[in-house]
Amino acid sequence: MAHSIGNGFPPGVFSQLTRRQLVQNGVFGAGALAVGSLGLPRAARALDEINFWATGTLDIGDDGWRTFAYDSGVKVEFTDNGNDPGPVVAKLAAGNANDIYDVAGLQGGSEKELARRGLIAPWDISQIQNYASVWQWAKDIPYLTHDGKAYGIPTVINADSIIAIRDKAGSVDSYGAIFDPKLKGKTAMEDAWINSVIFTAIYLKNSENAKIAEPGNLTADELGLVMEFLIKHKRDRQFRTFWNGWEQGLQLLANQEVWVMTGWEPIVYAARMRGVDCYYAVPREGYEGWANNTILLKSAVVRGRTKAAHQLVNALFSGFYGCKLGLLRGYVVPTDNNVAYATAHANAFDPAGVRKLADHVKQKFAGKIYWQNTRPDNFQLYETWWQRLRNA
Amino acid sequence: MSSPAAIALDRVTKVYDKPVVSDISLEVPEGSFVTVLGPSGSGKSTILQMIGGFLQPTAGRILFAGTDMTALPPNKRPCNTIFQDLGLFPHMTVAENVAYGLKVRGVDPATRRKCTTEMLAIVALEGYERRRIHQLSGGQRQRVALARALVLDPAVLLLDEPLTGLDERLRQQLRGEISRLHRRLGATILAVTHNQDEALSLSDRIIVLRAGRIEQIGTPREVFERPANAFVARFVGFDAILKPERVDSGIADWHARVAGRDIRCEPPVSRDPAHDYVLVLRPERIRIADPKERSDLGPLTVISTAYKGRDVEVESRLVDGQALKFLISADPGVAVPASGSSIEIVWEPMKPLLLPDALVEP
Amino acid sequence: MPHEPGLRESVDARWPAGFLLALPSLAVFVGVGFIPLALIATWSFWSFDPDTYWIKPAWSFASYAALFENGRATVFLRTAGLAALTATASTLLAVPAAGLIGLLSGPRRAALLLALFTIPFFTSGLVRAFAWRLVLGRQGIINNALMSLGIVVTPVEWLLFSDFAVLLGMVAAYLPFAIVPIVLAFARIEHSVIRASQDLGAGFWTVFATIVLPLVLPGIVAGFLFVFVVAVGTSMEIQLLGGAGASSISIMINDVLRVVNFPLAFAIATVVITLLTVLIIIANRALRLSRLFESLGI
Repeated sequence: MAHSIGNGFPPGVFSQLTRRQLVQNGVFGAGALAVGSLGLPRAARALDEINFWATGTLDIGDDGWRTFAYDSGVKVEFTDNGNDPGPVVAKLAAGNANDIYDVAGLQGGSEKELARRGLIAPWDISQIQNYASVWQWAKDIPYLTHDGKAYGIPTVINADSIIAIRDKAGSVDSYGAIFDPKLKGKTAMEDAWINSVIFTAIYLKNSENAKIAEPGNLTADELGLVMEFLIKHKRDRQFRTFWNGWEQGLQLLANQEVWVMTGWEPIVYAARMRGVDCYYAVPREGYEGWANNTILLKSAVVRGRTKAAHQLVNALFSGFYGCKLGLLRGYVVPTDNNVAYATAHANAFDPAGVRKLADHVKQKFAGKIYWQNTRPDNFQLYETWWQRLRNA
Repeated sequence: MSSPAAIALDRVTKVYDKPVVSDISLEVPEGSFVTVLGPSGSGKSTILQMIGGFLQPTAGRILFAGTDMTALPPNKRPCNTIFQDLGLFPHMTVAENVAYGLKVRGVDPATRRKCTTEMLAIVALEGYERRRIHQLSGGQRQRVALARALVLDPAVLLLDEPLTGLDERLRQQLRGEISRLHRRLGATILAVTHNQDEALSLSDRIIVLRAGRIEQIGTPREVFERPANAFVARFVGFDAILKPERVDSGIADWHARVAGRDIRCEPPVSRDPAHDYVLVLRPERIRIADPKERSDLGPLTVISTAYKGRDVEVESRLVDGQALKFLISADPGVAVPASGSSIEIVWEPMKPLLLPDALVEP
Repeated sequence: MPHEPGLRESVDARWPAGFLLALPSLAVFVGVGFIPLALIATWSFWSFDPDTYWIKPAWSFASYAALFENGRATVFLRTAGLAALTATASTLLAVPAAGLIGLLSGPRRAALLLALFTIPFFTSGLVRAFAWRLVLGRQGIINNALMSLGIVVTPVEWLLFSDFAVLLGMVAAYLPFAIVPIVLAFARIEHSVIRASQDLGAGFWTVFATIVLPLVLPGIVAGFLFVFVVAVGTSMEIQLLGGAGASSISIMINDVLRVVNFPLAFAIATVVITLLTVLIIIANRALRLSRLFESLGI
């Protein structure tokens, strides 16, 4: 696919930029082009342009990217990839995503698969100076590498657990609340094995002494155990429903359809704004840690975008991006550069707030963490079990 | 005492925003063929729909063989209508169409089949039983509609503009067909039409309708030859109309004075003090007088002439300013007068009719 | 009969001309419709390659065998059943609605009523389905009303996240798909046909059964099929309004694609498309939907 890029024209930045802009324009409307070409004041040096295709929550908005470009020299054209790793992988493999984008960001776990299929290229860590500042435990996430090479850079990290409504569910400190018969018909999980299976496995491993080695990468037997447990509770009508996506999850809480559910931390903040007194539980079994990793698309290398891509990733850790993302979405980029940047730019960011957010996440990761894995070894088996759960 | 009429309308009125049918009473005797003749908007279709039960009269009664059925729905009335656009069932075969009414009435299949076959034979559609409606010609469709209604042996058959929208050849063929069926089956038929030829050739009796009121009831000959007023006269072809200055009654003939000439007229059928009289003539009965001949009226100035195929229409003006249109033969032997020339005209041996002038009102 | 060479030639000449005229649409049909379908059907017989996470041309019926495992066949049956139920309910509601629109009101009012029925389509299906959660939920409009009227003490739970909610959401969403073809069928019925039927002795129900129903039947079948096909393909209402993990064919395809099991996804798609095509062909043959056009010749 990469070979067809020139369309017979001599390779060069100009023709590629033009082509990419045309594609972007055609596919995503004139908006993307306007952001890229009009909104940006001329910087002293020539800007490198990167098409960044990532989970929507990684977007820091037009003026955020404008400042980002000033600071880093990398002009980012951001496109939401929908977050679901399945379709993202499919578009990279069978669609034209590799023709359009240079760098992608998605929930960790698929790096091995993408690397094996030659769809992504390894990063050269030595070219990402700020990587040294990344918190060590984020660098230790098991599936960032393949064949000893670094394929995923953990850009945003967090740890998930369960959301509970205070006056209905009382004080919750265990995933067991989800399966508590007293809360029958008042609980929910996400309609995705990627999260729901690992939560259940964490619970069974720690609170019911089930023989589970790695909740994020279950063997066939372990998976059977976990899924039979879920199926039993589904048959008992323990769950009100399974939810999909932000709005549905939020609505379940806001309208008190469920009192306890596994979910994302920002949903708690949004539900509070709607007047629901809910909190993010600190589960004694440990959190589900996840990282949204930045990956380098193979075609970007072919197009000669490697240097600019590294420049982009380096800039993601330089502080401004972390501050901005924390402010916008409450998500954390795993580096202390955020605090340093906020301190140096106290007129734009609140250093105490940035530190508080970082400490909050660090606090969660100080305890037990089981890493989310979008591609466990038996991933197709997960789907067949999920199908059985659906039909139970 | 004679048996009651198959249909009788007793002071029937239908009002929408304004009266469409006003206080109409009429009778259709058993076995007769009655035609309601009138221009569009005269209320004739409304009358037919009220008889059929599709419209309710605002006032008055509708009687079938002496029984008041004003309140009954269409399916309970002993009459059947052939609608102008027939209303044949497109999803049924010819035989199913004809048998429909029998089936609805619960007639057993064997009888149904027998009656259908007989009726199709009568309308000369044997062998068409299994055809679908869209496979038939216009004339064949008309005959299916007739058969479908007649198979029920209705007390009265209602025809809504039965020959409208057909080409001339088909019209003549069907006219004969309806006439033949009427005689053969002895059916009572009430037709409405705006076409005088249709009315004249089919009917025992014609009812001329105008703006919801009956202008004349009579045999075709009566209506055609002795129209009751100028409206009827014009409707049946007396298009040449003259206003007299004065009318004098007489024993055998009446005399009217037009443009200074004394004209011998037929005495009026009805005396109507509410209206003045007019003289009416059939325009094709007028010809231009030879110079040595005694004329009936003249002089007239020729305004224009127009070739109409069989005839030439002459537009002329009398000395008192009245206009008169008439037709002369378009034969090559008959001279066409030049525009501006002065002529005299003759209508002997016919005499103009003297009729109440009902053109302006109501 | 005299030989007419000119006529014969023109008949012969029409063949290639007609064929050439049909070529562009034929090309579009093959390119847009047939080729992708053929590829999907072909790939459904290939195998997943765990080394490349891609498919390889190792011919196998494994994907079709997998359709009968893990309750996947149940998903097919449930989806078909739900779609049939939705289509039936929609059609039953659409017949009187379309009858009112098509028969009783004038053309202008009919257009207005029809437009009213299509207004919901100006909002996204997601928003419409979501709105039902606010109506049917524990704190929804209906439960609030029931509780304030003292009819129930605790909220009625089965209103939402149930098959009932899914059915309601789907019927509300897809009713117009049934109404439009039935309105068109009603509009084709000549008033004189109904009058003739009454005139020949038929009462209201006889007219309906012997004239109206047979004449709108192609529209009813078309409406049923429209709703059925759309309902088979939907996932939104099931995900938003159904119970925990409620499934449908399209949800299953998404699940399967999420784990890049392309041959299985293609096998599911092939079976669905084949079954729907057969269904439509049978319906068209049996009920002669083309009759709609014949009747226009009256």
